[in-house]
Amino acid sequence: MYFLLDTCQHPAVLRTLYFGLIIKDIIFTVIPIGIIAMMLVDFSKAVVAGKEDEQQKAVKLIPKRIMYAVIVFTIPWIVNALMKILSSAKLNVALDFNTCIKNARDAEGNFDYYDNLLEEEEKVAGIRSSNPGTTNNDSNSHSSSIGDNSAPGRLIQLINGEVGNTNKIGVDKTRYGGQVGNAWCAYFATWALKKINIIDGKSIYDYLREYGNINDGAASGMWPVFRSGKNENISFNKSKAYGGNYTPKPGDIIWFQWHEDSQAAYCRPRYGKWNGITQCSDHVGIVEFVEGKTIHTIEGNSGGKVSKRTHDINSDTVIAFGSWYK
Amino acid sequence: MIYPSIDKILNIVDSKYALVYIASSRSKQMTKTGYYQKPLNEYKSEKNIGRALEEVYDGLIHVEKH
Repeated sequence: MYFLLDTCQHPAVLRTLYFGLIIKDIIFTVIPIGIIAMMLVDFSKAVVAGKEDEQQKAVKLIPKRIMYAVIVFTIPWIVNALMKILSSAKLNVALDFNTCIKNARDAEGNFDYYDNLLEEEEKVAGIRSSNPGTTNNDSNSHSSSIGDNSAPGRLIQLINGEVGNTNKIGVDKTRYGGQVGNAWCAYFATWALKKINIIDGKSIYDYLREYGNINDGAASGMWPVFRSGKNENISFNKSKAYGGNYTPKPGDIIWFQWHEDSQAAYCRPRYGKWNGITQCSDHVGIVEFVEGKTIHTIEGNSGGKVSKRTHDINSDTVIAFGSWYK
Repeated sequence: MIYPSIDKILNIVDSKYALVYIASSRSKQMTKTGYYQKPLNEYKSEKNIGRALEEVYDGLIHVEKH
């Protein structure tokens, strides 16, 4: 919708507009002076000629020249008036036009600013195109490929440091949340999301929480957020075993449903196999990286502690992924 | 990217060079984390650099001077 504005952001377009506006200003200054000069010439010619018909001819020329000048002056005025009317109707094209002209006028002395912004924009586009490669074959570069200072990078760094820890840290105290003896995979995942600040002291958890409720203690407690559809960067993606086509990336939330014969299975015996829409999940973890068809995860309450695990990307115990960044 | 006008933003951030740096850092952050401070339909700019500048203009980014 803001096509014109986007085009107008380019420094080359801004420069062209800027010089166009200068030329327009020059023309608008020269025309009135030119008309006065030409009228004086016409008059003096007529006076010098001393003939009545030539004098009348000169007099007739004056309104003609004034009319041409008025037409030239009126064109930009009409365009401006039209854009103002459209702008009051809140049409984007008009807002774009006005912003574009204003910025072009203000651009003098600031072209380096626009050049630098364009350069930065290209760099950012570069980051986007090289965003976390999920099927990267170089196992050493998985978490570093997203940058250690990025939110997913910091999240993975944090949970890597937790590997081996248990939830119970006292008789009745827990490290990640919940009561001693509770299942704590979800407490671990939400604890980690709360620890990573994104901006202005807001954590990933705070950011997610804006889009729905989170039940910290339940494996599927974050589903309302990821399935809300309120933020295009937050998505709930079915795994390949359930008809999805999503390849997980570092930092994603991963949900599991164990087979009925597993001791930890709660959902399948009660609700049947996950059908891609409703029903619960037995377990939740965080994706560390993906290597070919293997998903490397870090999970709380896996073997009684925080553990690193691997899962086949096609496994039907892996049911879905929650992505919170693009 | 040029929305809002540089004159308006320079009332908030002193230097246009600092402004480029802030917009660049914030837009990289947006790209990496997908975290936006406003609902996406409230940004006028389609690009993250422009969105970062809008956040500066809206006072959503606090600039500390050292």
